[in-house]
Amino acid sequence: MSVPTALKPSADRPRLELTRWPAVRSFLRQRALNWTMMTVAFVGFILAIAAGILGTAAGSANFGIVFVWIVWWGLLMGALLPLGGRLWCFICPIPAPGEWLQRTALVAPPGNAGAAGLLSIDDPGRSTQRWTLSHGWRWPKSLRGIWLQNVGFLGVALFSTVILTRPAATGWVLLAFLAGAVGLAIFFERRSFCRYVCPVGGFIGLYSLVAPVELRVRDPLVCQDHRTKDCYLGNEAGYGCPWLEQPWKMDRNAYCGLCGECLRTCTKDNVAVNLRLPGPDLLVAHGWKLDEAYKAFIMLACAAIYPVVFLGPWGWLKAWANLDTLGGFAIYALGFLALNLVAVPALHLGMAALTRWASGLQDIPVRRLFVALAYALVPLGLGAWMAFTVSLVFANLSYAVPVLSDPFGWGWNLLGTRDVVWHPWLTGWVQPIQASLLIGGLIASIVAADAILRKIQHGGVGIRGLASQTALLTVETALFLWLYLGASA
Amino acid sequence: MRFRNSLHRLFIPSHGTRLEYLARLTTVGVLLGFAVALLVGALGRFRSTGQDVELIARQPSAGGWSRERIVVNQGERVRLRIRSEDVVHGFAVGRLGVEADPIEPGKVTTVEFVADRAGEFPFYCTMWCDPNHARMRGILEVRGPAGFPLASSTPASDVTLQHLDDPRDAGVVPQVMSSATRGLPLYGQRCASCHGARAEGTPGGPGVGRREFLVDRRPADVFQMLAGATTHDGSPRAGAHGPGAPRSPHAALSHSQYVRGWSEQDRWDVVAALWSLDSSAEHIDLGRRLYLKNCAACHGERGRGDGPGGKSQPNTPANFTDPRRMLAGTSAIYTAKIRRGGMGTGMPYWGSIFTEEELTALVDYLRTFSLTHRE
Repeated sequence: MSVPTALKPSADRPRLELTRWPAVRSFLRQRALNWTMMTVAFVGFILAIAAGILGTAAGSANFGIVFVWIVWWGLLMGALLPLGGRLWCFICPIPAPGEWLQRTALVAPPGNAGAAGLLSIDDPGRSTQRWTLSHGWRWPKSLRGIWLQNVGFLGVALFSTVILTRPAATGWVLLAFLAGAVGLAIFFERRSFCRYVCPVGGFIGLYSLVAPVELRVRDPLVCQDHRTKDCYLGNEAGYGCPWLEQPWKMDRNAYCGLCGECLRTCTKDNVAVNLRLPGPDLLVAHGWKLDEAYKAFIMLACAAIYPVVFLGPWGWLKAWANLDTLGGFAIYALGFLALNLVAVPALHLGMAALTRWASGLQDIPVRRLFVALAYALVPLGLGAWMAFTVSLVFANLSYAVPVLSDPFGWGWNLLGTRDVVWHPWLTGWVQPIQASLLIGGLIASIVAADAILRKIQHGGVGIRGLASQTALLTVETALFLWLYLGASA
Repeated sequence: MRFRNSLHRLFIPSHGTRLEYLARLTTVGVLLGFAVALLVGALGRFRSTGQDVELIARQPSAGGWSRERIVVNQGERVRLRIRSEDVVHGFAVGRLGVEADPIEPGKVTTVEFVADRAGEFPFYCTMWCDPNHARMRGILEVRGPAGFPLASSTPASDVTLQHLDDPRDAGVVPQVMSSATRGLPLYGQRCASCHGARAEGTPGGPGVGRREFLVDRRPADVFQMLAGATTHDGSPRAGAHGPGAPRSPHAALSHSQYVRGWSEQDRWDVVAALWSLDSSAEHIDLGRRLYLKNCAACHGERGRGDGPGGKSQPNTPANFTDPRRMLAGTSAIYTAKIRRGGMGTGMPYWGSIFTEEELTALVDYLRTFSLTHRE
């Protein structure tokens, strides 16, 4: 078995292994850890659904809106994602009930009798008892990849003005997520919902490529000689990878949910959680896929549309997006989809062709350049989303204080904070932070574009090749700067 | 069989039993606790009486007030916590002088008062919020020890409902808007000696500026009276101020002789002066505030019938600056119309909300759109 180059231990891939400390390792291997985090999140999630559907229709006084779209979103985009990658997926309550049903257990490992049906999918001979409620079907090949997640995200984003401002809409959408996750868990194996369907998981996976945290095997050569592949199939210590990843092949964060099952099941003690410099996953060439490239375009386009609709002075556009009239919304939807699916990808396709022409990469197909260079948008896209989140969170986070006491807006005063008045926080810091995030994202994206071009053409493509990408990224950053610091100021 | 086994395993863990049992108990406990808390909270929300009352304002098309009736006991201190779920609303309780505005979305507005009078008092939105804004009303029921008589609305003394909607046309109107400021000196020169300095009436002449005198009179009729064509009661002149009037110390001259030299505009100015004499600046200001809060959304801030709310009403709201219409109506008619409402025109009824003082103040303010009050 050949070992991918990216996986070979190398001095030029500096890492700080967190799990080399026994306390950290022991903590992460606790079986109750996932259940504890997911249960706490699950209670909050159920509360958000209940408040959304039953509580006050005033979004600013409803737990569903405030804690999902301000607190959770702020936490996700401000800390969990940029610092921890898929750390949220480790906590996420949406797949919890489905997974518990699949395993017929909350905490317990599969036990001696077998891995509760999961093993039987890949190795029918090993499992003699199937206690799971899931049929354990494999996800259809034609639906693999993140195209469904792209479609789902576009759907949510298209109606986001409605969903983000109407508690009932938020409640029903969250309930649909939960029902979808449970329903798919009953029919399909492991976390097929998270891997292939979850609209949120798609962009978390993409942006986790630049996260400074990773879960990897310490030495792929050890796995090469380990025939039982417990990390994938599971054993009495834990379940096979719920995310359908094969840890010994894993060289990107994109589809690792950081659940830690492989830490528990690896009998060779060969799995580690590392701190690293962000970004190396962007350069993993075999991971460059059109569906992920489109995710990068969609995220970039939406990062431009959101401030226009939510923060900008164009009330008529907000009215269209808000479904005030069907005709207006139809125009908005058409523009929204055209920008996401046609205009932004077409612009980048053109620039990829220009880069190809300018750098003399005539033997590289335009499509390959187009897809590869889309990954250079990841840092800028993440920066833009974080900039948007800063506006959203700093202005609205204080709503969380009274909502904690009165989550339904029914007049409760559970913590005595019901009458705390809304107040925007750190308003003077918002624009400097946004500018820093955008310029930082631009620099990181240019560096990424250069590295990607070097990866494609050893020795690099010279200043001419990088110039077109730099120009495009700079123009896009200028647009974001205008949107955040100019138009919406 | 497999399914049955699986269901069995849902309840009876097969492995890792102690931790698994603990996790299951905790999960079920947390979820059950959550459900119970939610149920208790929801039941508490719908309690129908009490002094600490939560009230949610929604546009009428979305349901209006969350409570149509609030019941309290007489003498209790009532604490209303009001919040809007959509747009900016206002809150007031008619006849109790309880007000709270604006009610801004997402903010809690608290208003406290002592329910010292028994009865049923309408509470209503005081900010135009919806085409059906006027329907955004509820009842505050203050229960007294001996029942709670309905707050009554006194009908206008001499106005029958069928007269309210008669078409009105003053026939003759001033060239420029009449002015009490211009009319008062004229009144002082020619009329005050008989009718009193404030037209309060003397043995020599009736109190032509008193509210009781003017309430049933049309400004256009008073204008005709000043022209000598009619008597004080509006009938064709045959007496003191007109041709053929019986002679008396103060009726020796016809009315036209008293007002000799006055132009038509002067006479209109005196009409305006008469309507201003029994009405203080504070009274007009009360009417102005009531108008701006309750009427301006449809009738327009300047009374032109061009308020934004009026566009969605079945009938165009009345234009109070139209002299042909306004100078042909008595204050009694306008009071009765406000009290009753527009009967299908979109104009709400106010009889159970405004006090008599508020009604007269409002009508006096409406007069200022066609008869300028003194400055």
